[in-house]
Amino acid sequence: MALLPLGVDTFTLTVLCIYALLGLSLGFIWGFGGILCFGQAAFFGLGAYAYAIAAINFGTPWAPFFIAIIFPALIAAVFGGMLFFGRLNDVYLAVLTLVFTLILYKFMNVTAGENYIIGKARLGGYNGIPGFETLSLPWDPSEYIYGDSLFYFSLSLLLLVFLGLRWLLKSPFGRVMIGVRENELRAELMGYDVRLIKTAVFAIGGGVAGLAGCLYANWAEIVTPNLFSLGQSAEVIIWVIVGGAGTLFGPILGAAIMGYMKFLLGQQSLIDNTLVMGAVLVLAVLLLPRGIFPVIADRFTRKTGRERTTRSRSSRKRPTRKRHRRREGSNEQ
Amino acid sequence: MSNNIVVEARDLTVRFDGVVALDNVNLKLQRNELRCLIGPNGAGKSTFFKCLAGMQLPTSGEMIVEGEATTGYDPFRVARLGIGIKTQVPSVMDGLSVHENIWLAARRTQSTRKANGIVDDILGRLKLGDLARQDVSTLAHGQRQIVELGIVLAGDPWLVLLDEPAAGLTGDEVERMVNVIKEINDYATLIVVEHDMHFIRQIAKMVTVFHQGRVLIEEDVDTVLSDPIVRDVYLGKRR
Repeated sequence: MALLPLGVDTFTLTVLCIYALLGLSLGFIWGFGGILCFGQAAFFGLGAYAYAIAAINFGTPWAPFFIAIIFPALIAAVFGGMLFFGRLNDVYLAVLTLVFTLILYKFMNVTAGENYIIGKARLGGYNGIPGFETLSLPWDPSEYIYGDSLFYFSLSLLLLVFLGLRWLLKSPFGRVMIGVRENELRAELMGYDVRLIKTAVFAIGGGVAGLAGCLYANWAEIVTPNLFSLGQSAEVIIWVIVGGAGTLFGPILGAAIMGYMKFLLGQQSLIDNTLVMGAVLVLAVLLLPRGIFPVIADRFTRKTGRERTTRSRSSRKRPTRKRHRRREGSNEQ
Repeated sequence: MSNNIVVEARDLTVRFDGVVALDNVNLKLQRNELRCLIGPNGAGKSTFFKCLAGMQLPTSGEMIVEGEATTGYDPFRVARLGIGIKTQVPSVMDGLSVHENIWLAARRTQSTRKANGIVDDILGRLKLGDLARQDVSTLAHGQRQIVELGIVLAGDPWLVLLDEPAAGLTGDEVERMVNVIKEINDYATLIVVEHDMHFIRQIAKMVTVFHQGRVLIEEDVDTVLSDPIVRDVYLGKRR
């Protein structure tokens, strides 16, 4: 493999691709939809569990593959719908998404008993679900997709999702969605149903996270409640911040870099790796508040003198720092 | 002009924790009217405006637009009735270009191609062509006001609500705003909330004066401006 000198094999590269997909899902809803979800791992975990449970019940991999995308997207639509139609603001939204993944985490941990069975699949509590059918070639079920081919499969899906989201952002829906991020009230006064748009954005993010979870289940060949852990959710947010919120490529880069770092740090026992991750986050926020990718992109465009793209223009702004501009002019109530 | 009432407020009351912002306001507006709402700070005119725009839920009373009770409507449902709303502090989409701001407003009801045409038309009408590709967050306050007006016009509204459109405008810009408002009035009904008496004089026909949450007087502009009570209210004299 080309990246072997870095000490990476395809097994690791595959999981980096999966992380990148997960990062992309949050980068999409946060960076472009303005929705800060503290529980993106919930949809990641739901995708993985949906795949495992469906694969055990059906015995074939491809229907579960699609279920693993659709099910989390539906859950995201219902859950997101409740939040957005309830007109909850950013902070409550973040807290509730956090609680949502915590509940799933706690629940999945206590499902060890005989009672927790979906069809033929036992949920297995903290031991998780092992031994389900993994992906194989549709025309030859005996030919499993694993190792190198799973990497190429994941990489192609990552590319496909990336291009799909880019296309979506250029479409009228995407443009409206960015408008909503910039000014919800104005979008509403234009006649757009902001609640519906945000629900749709959230559902798309849920679907992409579910796809990442599905690939993860195929990669690890086991699903455990740790997929829903707070650590996992927090990590995704860190990837997006470090890589660059407000861009699509940033979260991919952030996930790959941070994932790789975690992999390297995991090989030593001198220093706790969450400590290093935290330090990297702090440094990134202080030194590169817009994230790594926007800075690289800017430097590149300046050197080549190309005109700024829409993407790098919107990246100038972090969705978390909404500017409430009040100029001179009266403030009468 | 026929006796065609398009907006009607019935006993509209808004209370904020004991403060009565609107006190049983009744107001009727005819089609193609240009109505100015004036009054000192805290008179309730902006609260009335917000009730109409769906940005404020009245404590009691009803708002009726073309026979449809819109009390409790979300702003987007009000907007979908064909009502264009310009808020007090310019509400534009920072981070997006002037063109994109207006395009998004036009695209709500039109196809992409038609929306592009509408944007070009409005940029020309408001003389914003030079700023089309600029990020609205870099614009001066007055320019943002004009951009917001462009957003409102892009929705092709039959009823236009403007909250302090002249605030922070330069002399030139005020003149442009006056002309645009008169132009809009050729085909649409307007409600303008304003402080600036000089501006009111230039555009107003019928004026409603708010004072302490109530309608103090509702007359044509000359009568209102020469009314001693109105003068007292504005100068803060006790009656």
